Amino acid sequence: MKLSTRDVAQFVARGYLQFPALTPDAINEQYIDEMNRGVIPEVAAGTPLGRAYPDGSALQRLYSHPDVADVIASLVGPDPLVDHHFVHLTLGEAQRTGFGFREPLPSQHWHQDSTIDTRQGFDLQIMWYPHEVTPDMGGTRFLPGSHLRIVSEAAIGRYQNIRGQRHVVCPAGTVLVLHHGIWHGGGSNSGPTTRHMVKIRLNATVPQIRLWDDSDLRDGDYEQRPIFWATTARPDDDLHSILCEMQPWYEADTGRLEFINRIRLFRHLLGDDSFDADYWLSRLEINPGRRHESASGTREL
Amino acid sequence: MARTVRLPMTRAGRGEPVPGSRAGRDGTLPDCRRVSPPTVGRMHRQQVLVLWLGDSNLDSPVVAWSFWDGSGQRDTMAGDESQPPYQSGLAALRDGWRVFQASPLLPHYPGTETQTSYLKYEFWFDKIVEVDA
Repeated sequence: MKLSTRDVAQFVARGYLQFPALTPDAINEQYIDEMNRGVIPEVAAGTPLGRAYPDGSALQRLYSHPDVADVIASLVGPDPLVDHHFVHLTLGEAQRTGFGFREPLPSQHWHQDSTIDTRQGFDLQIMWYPHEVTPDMGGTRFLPGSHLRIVSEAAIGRYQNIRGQRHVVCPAGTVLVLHHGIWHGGGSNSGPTTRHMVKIRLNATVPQIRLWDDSDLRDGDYEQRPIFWATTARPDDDLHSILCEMQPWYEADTGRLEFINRIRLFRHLLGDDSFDADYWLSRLEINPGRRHESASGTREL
Repeated sequence: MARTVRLPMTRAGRGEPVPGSRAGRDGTLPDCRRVSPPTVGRMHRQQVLVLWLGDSNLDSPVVAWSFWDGSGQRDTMAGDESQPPYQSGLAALRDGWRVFQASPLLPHYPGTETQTSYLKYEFWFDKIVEVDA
């Protein structure tokens, strides 16, 4: 089933969606076996996803899984390209000591993948966890709501801990889909067994406009509601509330800028600049005295 | 390797020095320019704490933090704590940490006024501690 408008709004607001135990053991175990046999293929950047992986391979079965396929189609549409994939191994004690490391290897610094990216659309990063990840295994650390910050890759490595940071702890077969800009890093594995994760980055080949099931979009979603002095409880699935969810690490002023940037992204995905959430962009667009330049001359609007 | 003889550790979040700490509320924490030369067999080392705050006021809440220990007593890494050592920059100050750098307030460059980027309100603190030579 494709994502709903609410799901996509949550992706826009938080920069990720997590789907626990989405893939069955048969595919999960096949991936571990292929990893151990060293048969995970190399893929040329820009290869269409449908031709990237051998038929019947674990990664082909992953993206062909109906639920995974629907998530991909909802966010980057049909026929995306494989930007790259990467196999992540975080060594557990048994393998670590084999390489001569007595202590757990330190966690990875915070970073944003690739490089400075100012596009309005986004690439989709799929992180797949083919086995259970327990707290001691150093599951991926990521920061909800960080995806729209324009930073330069590892320049954020100075930060060690950020309020609201999350560590992936999940059952086998969990799929995490992320906006390419989300801040993240691998954790430190202090457990006995090695942690596996594979990441696949996908580029859209079609405009990312209403690729999801938008049948839940209502006229009421476009209506403004009382703000600041607002004492009436709002339903959990209220689109404005989803898009204007605060994160505990936002500075007092930049949290509001995050709302503005989320609404701009959501407008882009809707293909509709008339949408606003809690008036954040409407206020900035009010300019009664602006002068309109036209071929027939300048006039007041 | 140097062995730490005494470190002014804190009760997290309350800005209160642990009993026996060299840090006090009266601003008497050693300054590296005023601190006495180490006694025979001891050296000075720097501990660095960086707090990112919710706004430019030092008493605003901590939203992110990092700590590096030049004494070698404690190793830190990304993602190793879920709660900050202090609730605000002021709490750290009252526990004896000395501010030596704060991020400036910069005007917003035209065209990028709503762009967000690095954590904005960054304060660097240090303490000087004695370790065995």
